[in-house]
Amino acid sequence: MRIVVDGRLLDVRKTGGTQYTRRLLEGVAALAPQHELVVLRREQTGEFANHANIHELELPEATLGNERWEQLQLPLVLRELHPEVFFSPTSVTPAVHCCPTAVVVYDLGFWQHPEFYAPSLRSYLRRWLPPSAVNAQAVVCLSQTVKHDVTGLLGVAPDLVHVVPGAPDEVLSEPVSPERSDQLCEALGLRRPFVLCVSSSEYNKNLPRLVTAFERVRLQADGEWQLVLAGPPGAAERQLQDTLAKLSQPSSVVRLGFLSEDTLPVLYHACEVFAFPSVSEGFGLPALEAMAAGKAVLCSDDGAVAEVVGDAALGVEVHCVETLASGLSQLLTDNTLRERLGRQAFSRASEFNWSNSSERLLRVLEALAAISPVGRENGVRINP
Amino acid sequence: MRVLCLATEFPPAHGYGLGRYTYEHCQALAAAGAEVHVVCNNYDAARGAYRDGGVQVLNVPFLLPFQGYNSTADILQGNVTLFTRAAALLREHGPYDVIQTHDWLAASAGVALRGTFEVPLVVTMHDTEVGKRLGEPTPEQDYVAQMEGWICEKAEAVCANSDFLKQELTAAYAVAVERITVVGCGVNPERFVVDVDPRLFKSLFGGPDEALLLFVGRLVPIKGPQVLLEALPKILSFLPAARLVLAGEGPLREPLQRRAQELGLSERVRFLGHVQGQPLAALYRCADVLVVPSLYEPLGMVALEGMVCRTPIVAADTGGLAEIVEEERTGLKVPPNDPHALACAIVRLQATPALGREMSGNGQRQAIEHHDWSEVARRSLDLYDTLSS
Repeated sequence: MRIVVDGRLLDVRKTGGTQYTRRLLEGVAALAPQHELVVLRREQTGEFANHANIHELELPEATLGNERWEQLQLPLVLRELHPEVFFSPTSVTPAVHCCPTAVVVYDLGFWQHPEFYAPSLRSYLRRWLPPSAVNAQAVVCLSQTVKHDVTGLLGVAPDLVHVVPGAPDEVLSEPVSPERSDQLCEALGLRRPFVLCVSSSEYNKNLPRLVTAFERVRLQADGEWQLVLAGPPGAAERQLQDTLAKLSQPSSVVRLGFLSEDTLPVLYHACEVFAFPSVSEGFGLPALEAMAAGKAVLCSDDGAVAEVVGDAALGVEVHCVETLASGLSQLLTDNTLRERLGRQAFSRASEFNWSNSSERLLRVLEALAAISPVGRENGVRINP
Repeated sequence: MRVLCLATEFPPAHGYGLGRYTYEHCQALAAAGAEVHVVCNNYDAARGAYRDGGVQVLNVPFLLPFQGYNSTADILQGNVTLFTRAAALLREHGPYDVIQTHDWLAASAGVALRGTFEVPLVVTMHDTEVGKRLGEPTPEQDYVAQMEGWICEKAEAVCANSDFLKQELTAAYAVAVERITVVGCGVNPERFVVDVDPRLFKSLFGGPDEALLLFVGRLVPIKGPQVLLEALPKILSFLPAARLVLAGEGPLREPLQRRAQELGLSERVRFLGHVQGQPLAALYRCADVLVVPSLYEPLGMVALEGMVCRTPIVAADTGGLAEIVEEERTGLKVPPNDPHALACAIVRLQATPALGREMSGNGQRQAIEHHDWSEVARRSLDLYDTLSS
């Protein structure tokens, strides 16, 4: 069968959604060589050249958030391509019916935390995401938490919502030589031990509180700890800068920008503790990535992140500097706790892998192709 | 009844009026029990032969790179390929009772097949070059007019899709009135069923309280988008929140964009390019007014489509469009090429929503009751019967 995939996320700088789209695409293509995957994107890159059944279709107007393209042109593209299934990892699908459709909903943050969103993005998601999810014959979420939101807030029947979790890159579980770590730390000017946080400075990522909490506890532990913030600037960059400006010893916090795919795994291995203070996530991939590297993680005790890390991380109330600080202090001072959590984390992370997720998605898509005719009443129901 | 249809423009490769008419006509003939084979030129992806509903379609690719239907060489090569494949069909699957073709583009192939296989030829005219040209004719336009006159003369019967066109064919090419059958034009409501919230769709273009004016058609002078653009400043002086959306492509796009900029209206005018299928239906349903400002319109399919979608209509009082739209019953009519009158009618329609609602209800009923494709097919088949007996 032919599966058309809205691949517009592949054209943006690597985000959770980009990774999710790419890995699932490759996973499904490898599992089912009999299916053809047509990827719609702005530019052909040839990155799927070693998958004979993935074809890129270049559509110069296909950019993320181009709602007129989504609603007026995409239906015609789909009519021309005549796929059995349309899979949209961008959360938005054409309002007019085209063919059986599966849409990924990462989270409903635009409703639950509208303050975290730029007004244009918020109004775009408010308008198009709910009808996309309601009209789709299958909704894909990364966690039970989001599934719960999608059924509760959007009223989608629970058996039409499928959980297909993300997974850490396999490379993270591979050991990194101490020389490689040392080299990288030296090159980046990092001093060990350090607490690592991989997050853009978006509002929901809660970085200012982490910085404040770290400032309070860093002298309690042995050695001179650093906090390393890796990730591109986001909408809340100014707030983060203000907080950093108030630090008593500015060199205790290091900002690294966007890091390449080669560097990041080494950095995960080089840290002692990983902090992920985000207050709202649909999944929380960075926490899982640190766990795959066998690191003790400090994160929220609520929502999708708590669901994903299970009991293999130290969960705290992340809205509060006090609780963040006390959690951080435990991890900085208690070596035994760190080691125990690291071991548990590694084993928890190994429960998530892309081949399982790809197989789940493939089952959803194959069941979708069997639906005919397309209508709201019809949908994919798979018993787990 | 076995019908061989020679088509030049045929969906999905070609989504404009002529192609859509040909497509729906073939489907309706098949639905009425005829065996319909379509031979059509294809200049998109090679689709080959396929069955679509009751219609068997055979695509014939061009042998040389296709430049467009304004290239005489391409029209010639199109006719040669059409003739070759249709002749093979006639030999292998014949006899056919009638050869149906549309306009002059496949005239050479049609006339040649008629002569070779002695099958009656029926041509359905959709416009005339004499009627649609503005100003002095170019040599190409003269050639087209000659071809139109020639095929009307050679064909066993001529069909027109409106009374207006019947008059015009008589006047322009001296076609005897008794040789012209008005078969009309249908509109298939099923094609415009779309399950989408119009308010949601409208948000693509502006706020819920902003009047959305819709133009659908090729961006060429004959369709009158320039008249509508000139009317816009006046419309905006009464309806400051109005927005104009143009769905269609054509050589006027750039000049219109420039003019909109000159008028300081770029913010208020949106060019969508070619829109078709379900998104077009959704567009009709979310628009507050469908404006059909054509200078010449022997039929007016866009008006019919808007009527089926219950879009209030302001149309130019010309040609077949004037037959479709009844003043104050199914729409408002204005003199063609009169921006002032056009603006007034649009403002009036917006100021009296009750009138709009009443007219759009009437329009939908009228379109469904009087523009049924099965009726068009019946009239065509009656005509074929008289020719083949």
